[in-house]
Amino acid sequence: MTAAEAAAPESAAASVAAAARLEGIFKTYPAAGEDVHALRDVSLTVAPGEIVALLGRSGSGKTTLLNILGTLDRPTAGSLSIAGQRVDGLAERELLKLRRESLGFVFQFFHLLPYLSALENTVLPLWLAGVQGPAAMLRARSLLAAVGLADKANRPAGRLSGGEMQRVAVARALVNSPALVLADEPTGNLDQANAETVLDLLRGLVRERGVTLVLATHSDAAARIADRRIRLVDGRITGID
Amino acid sequence: MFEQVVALGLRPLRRHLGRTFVTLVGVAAGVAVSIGIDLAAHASIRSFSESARAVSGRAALRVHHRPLALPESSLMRLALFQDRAALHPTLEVVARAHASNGTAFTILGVDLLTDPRYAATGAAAPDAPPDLESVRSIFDSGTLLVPEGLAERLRNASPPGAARDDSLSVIVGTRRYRFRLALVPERAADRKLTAAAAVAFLDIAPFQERFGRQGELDWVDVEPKPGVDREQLRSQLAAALGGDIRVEPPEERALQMERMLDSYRRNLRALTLVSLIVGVLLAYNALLSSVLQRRGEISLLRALGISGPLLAFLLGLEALVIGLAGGVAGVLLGLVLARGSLGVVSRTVSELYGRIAPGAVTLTLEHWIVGLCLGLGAAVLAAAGPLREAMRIRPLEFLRDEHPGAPPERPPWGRLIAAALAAALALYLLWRPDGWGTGARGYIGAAAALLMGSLLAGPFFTFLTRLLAPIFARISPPAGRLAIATAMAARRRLGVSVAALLLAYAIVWGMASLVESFRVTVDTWAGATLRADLWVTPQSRAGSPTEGTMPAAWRAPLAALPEVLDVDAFRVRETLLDGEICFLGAGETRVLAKHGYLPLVDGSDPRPHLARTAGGRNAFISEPLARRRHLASGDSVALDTPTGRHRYAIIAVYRDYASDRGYIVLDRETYLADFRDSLVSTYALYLRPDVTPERASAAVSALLGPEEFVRVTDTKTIRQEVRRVLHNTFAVTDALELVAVIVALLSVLGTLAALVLERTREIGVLRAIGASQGQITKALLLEGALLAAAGLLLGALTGALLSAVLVHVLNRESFGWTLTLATPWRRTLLLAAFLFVAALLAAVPPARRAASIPPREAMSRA
Repeated sequence: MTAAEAAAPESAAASVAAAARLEGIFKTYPAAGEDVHALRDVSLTVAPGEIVALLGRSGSGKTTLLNILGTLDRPTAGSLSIAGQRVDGLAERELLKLRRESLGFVFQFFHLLPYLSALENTVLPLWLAGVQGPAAMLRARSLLAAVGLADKANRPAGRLSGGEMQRVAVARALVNSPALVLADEPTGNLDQANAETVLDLLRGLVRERGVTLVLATHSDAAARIADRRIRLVDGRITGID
Repeated sequence: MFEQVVALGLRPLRRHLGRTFVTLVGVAAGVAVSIGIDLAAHASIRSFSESARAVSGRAALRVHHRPLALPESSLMRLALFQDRAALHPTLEVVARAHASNGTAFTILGVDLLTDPRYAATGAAAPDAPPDLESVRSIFDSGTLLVPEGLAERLRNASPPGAARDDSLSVIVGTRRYRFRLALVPERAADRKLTAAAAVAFLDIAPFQERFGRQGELDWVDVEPKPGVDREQLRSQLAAALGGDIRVEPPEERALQMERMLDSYRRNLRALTLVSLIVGVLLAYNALLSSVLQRRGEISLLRALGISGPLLAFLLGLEALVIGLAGGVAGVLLGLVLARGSLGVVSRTVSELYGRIAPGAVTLTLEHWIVGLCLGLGAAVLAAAGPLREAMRIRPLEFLRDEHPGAPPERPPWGRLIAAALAAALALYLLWRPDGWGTGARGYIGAAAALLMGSLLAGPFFTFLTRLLAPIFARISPPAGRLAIATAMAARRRLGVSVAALLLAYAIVWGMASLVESFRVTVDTWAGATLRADLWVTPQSRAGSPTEGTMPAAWRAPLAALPEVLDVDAFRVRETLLDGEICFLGAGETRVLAKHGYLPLVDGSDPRPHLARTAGGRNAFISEPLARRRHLASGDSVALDTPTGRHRYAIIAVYRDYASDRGYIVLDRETYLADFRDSLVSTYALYLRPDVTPERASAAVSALLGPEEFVRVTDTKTIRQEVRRVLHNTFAVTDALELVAVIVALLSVLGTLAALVLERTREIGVLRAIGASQGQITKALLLEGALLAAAGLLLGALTGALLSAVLVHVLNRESFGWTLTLATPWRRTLLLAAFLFVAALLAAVPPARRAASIPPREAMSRA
């Protein structure tokens, strides 16, 4: 079995209702001397509710792949479908709608807005999507409670600890009930104890809500929560566990 | 090591060229306005003493009897001193080239064979034997000797035919004189002096003959011979001449004029400093933004062990370079500005104080030093806050990728108390405009008002943001909430821009209100006082009301005209009140009481006072003079007259906005008796009810005939003239307002651009989690709107207080006028709308740029 074949879901049924499907994805960045090939012929199907870990060393293409899955970057070649919908040719406005409704993000450096409170950071995607009022705040509060930060809801994000910031980021990623959450090195900036807490929360929350999770990591501990572990070397899928 | 530190310190200047440019513009604009306006004012004011030097030559002393003529017989007494000094008797008259708006210049009557001033023109070389032809022309009363420079100006300024190569027609008083023109070559070194004075020469005897001044001199310049002590000679001359004849340095009068102009210059200087303050705020913003952008770098350097002083040097280097470069650019820009504004300033000085021909604007070492000090001072002031911010950065921040976050919530009690104290001080000065610190109270009050606004900028911005938060959230939920959150987070930075904007707006508000107050007050005053229907003045008058006279014999025929109801023959001349130059006016108080009006400071009816004045040694004095000399009704003034020194009781103080030099007004009968001068400066004609000014004007012209050159002006034109002079007086404030507004807008643009740059990563995150470009642009626009609204609202409050201080304190102590406070609502509201829209537009380009960066790229930016 080739690595590409190995990256495909096991059942045909899962293939039909795939949370995300990448086929023949290439990503090349122009550079002064020689172009940089970040991804080379990557094909991958992620089943709904599945947790997939992308493993590899720095520069292997994990983050690029995650960015393409998250529609933050466009592939040079290949096709991308999210929840059965082809998205690689969509206009920026449609991609924005997709991100608002179907995707959640967790970043290595948390990327919270430091001047907003934990609650405001959490509810932000709902506000941006036009969801206002008490219902939005209620949902944000319940997620904050779920990540153990109910008592710090009104504290500015800039004054939270690293672990707390990442828990707020997890709550923010889930607040708009996305089908797919993309986490880029979610524990890369945390100590071991905090990393374990965040991973447990992530796994628990996505399982509980049936959300698909793709996380990029080079941490074995983080990879252990995944159903499948896909290894990337120089922009190619080289193996699957 | 040093080179590396310097390179590291200067790198931000190269990396952020836009910011460097804006900061430089801010500092340079502040310096340029300060240097430029001062240079122009200095050049204009200095032209008094330059003119004086030009007409006094090498003389060290001047013998005169101003404002009276010196009898030529006094030369006999002066002849005793001929072994110790050269004597140069002189006469002077103001002439105007015969053309509409012809160039005004001075004709000096001097002894052309011996006088060094004529020799200085280079035409008569003292060592060379005189040329017979030139000797003949010298004694020819029809030949006017005009230096080449002035001849050129006469030719350029006059319409064709008025000044030709071989002849010149001029008006002196009301008479036209035609002269043959003899061009006098000038040595390059003398051009500046003769240009400053605008002087032509006539030999003394022909001068007396042509202008009817036989037996009179205006003054005698005294040039001590080598080795003669000037002061000793001065006291000997004074003793020999005796009486009221004065012996003074020749530039004394010019210096008196220049001292009077000090208040004008000080006012301009105070206004220009405000541009510098706004420039400092702009530079502060830019430097703070530089420090905040380099938090990571600074944190790393701290972690690697950089010492505090070295870090301060590294960061201060940026400010130092900006200060030096801003100073140099400011001085050069100032020179350009000075040349541009010289005409406006000189025209104002000419119209308010006396005819001048401004000299060239020249930069001196002093200007360079002042400019560089201002630039460096502004940069150091601007760098203090950012430097303190940098020193607070902890070594580990970069490792933890910490964000500075929102500033801690602390009630700004200190600022609020200081602002309340500043406001209280300004209000106290308004309540008590006279008292301790006279001369500085206006500046202290203006500074207190501006300080109040600046101190309130941050707290008011926070207050307004909180106040508007629910409205913003309702109007535009995501963008509004984001705008409120980001504004609160960056409130300290935005507070500085609010301060810059409010200062600019307050200054414009204050200056515009001062001008409007002048306009309204002077309009009301002119309406009340200018009640005559026609004004007859000599055509040669170029500015000062003392220039040119008309004979008293015209009064009777003018009064006999069927169109004329009554005539007031008014005389204006200069006089000395305890050594200070002011105007002496003499009018027919009977006529004034019957037809005219004199608004008294105490608001009482002037008619009983006017009736009391007639026939006695009584006087009215104008408000500026009363304030300056601390005089009131019941006091008296002593004046030298040809009949001796007399005291005049002050009957009342009246409002006068024609001149801040001050007027003493006597009844004409008293004046004729004491001063033995029947000449008239202005005939004010009161017409019969059914007569139009045009008809009466034609009758006056017909009566005087074609040989008399007078200007007959109706009251409407006089009022327009008053407004024009007023407009010119304040023309320079328009330029100052413009600079303040531009610098403030640059500050707003710089702040918003810097904030957007700092938030690039956050904007990327927002885009990633679903924010549209429109939402981000809208949020930044709303933030710009908050900034502008806070700046303009507080600016209006500060401007209202500032305008009251300018009108009731600064103007009162500088010029001595009482003004009615008026605000030009249309202008201030239009400016507010313009500034609001401009602040919003300033936010658009950075907002659009930031929102267009792909989220992945934005998030990867540190």
